[in-house]
Amino acid sequence: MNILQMSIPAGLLILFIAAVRVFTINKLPKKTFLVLWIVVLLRLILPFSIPSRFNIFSMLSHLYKPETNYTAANSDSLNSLTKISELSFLKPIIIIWIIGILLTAIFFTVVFYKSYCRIRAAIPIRDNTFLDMWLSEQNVLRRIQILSSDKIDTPITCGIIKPKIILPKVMDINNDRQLKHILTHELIHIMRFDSVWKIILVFVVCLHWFNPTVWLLFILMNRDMEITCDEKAIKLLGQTEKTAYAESLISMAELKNEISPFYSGFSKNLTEERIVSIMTLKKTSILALTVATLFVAGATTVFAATSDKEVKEKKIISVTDPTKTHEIIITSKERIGEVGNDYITITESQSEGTGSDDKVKEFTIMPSTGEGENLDDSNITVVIDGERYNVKEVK
Amino acid sequence: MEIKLFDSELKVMEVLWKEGELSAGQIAKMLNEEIGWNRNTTYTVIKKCIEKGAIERKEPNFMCKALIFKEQVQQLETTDLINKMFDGSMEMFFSAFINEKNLNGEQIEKLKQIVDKLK
Repeated sequence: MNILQMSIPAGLLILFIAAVRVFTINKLPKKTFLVLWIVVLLRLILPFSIPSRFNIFSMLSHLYKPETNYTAANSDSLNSLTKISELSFLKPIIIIWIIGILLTAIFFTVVFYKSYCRIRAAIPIRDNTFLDMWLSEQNVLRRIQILSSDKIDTPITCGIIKPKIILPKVMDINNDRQLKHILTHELIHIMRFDSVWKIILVFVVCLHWFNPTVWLLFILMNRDMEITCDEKAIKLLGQTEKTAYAESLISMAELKNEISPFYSGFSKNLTEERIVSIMTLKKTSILALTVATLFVAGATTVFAATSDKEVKEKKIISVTDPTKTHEIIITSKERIGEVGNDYITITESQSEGTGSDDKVKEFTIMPSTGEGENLDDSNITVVIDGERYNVKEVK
Repeated sequence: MEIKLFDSELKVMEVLWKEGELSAGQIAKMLNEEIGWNRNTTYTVIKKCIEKGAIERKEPNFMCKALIFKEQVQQLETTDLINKMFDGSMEMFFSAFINEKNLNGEQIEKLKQIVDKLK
């Protein structure tokens, strides 16, 4: 499966989810969207999919018929075609893609490094009884360290194996209630391994740098990670703390803000969305839960699967001219640049019929993977000995 | 000349104020044990201090010598604070802090003695 086949359906799914999210973000459990984004991530990373009847491509193909006229080319252009196919992995578009990946990766590395430089000289906070007590109450397997830095202005969580919560020096750490809110929020980031998810997101954006919807995914998933974190924090702290928690968020946002794609922080940009989200938090109704589940299941089926029609469908075609060699190259109209067995396996089946009719040969062709359009006589070319032939019929 | 130091740089200075001249490697080792900084971090902070003129580097062995004293930094930071929060008024600063809440009887006595000495 190539990168476009992963990127485009994922892009459609992202747009669909984003559109629905605008209207339903405060009516459905926030975790719904996180789950949906993870489905999208899987689509963007895994190069295979599950066949299903109800997929977006077969739906779209009802609306659009690929063009069926085809003209035979002469041998010269075929020879040049064969040459191109040998170098297909060096196609200019692939080079551009790789350059894009490198540039995007460099961009993120620079951003990461700048953040890293700022927080690496943070100083552990000692002799704070509240903090010591809070730390001892937590039962996370990894040891958490709490530090202070005068180079940041919002609390940051970082580190996967040795998680660290870094509090800005400008923050009032004697306000126990506020501190508890902040620490609980950061603790949830740690427990959910959000640092890892952020890295996966960056990886996906590097691969799919050309797809603007993937950047949208990046923004929205980061936001939804924060929002679901708030949701969980309030669950842990208790509904009565809701207003005070929102006030803590505002206090944090009042300190100057930073945007970092790597570390979970409190950012002024999302603050409004998060406050609205917190204040409208209510117990999830059964209806909302049902809608959410259907939404996730539906979206996954439609967008993440591919059509099962193309899988392993055998076609038998007759060719109007015989061949002396066994080197048969069959391409679909769309695949004229990609020649060879990576797309189709060909076996020469027994020719039936009379011996004089040796102008007709039968071949069985099978798509090697479940991709590509349906093979029929309008879109198959048979190339034999440098000569192209239209397919006479497909059985 | 005013030198503004970040908390991280102050930490390095504190080591030098306490121990005298040390090599960068020794400072790195101490800070690693005390607060968990890795070598590169400490070295970067030391270099920052050198740039700001707070530390002098002497060869061999990258020996570090503090060029400013703790008292100077205390003066500097406090004056800054007074300027920022108390409009530069020393009296306002003191009257805010010299009260029964912050000081016990013994401390007040000691302060009185200091003021008397100055007269």
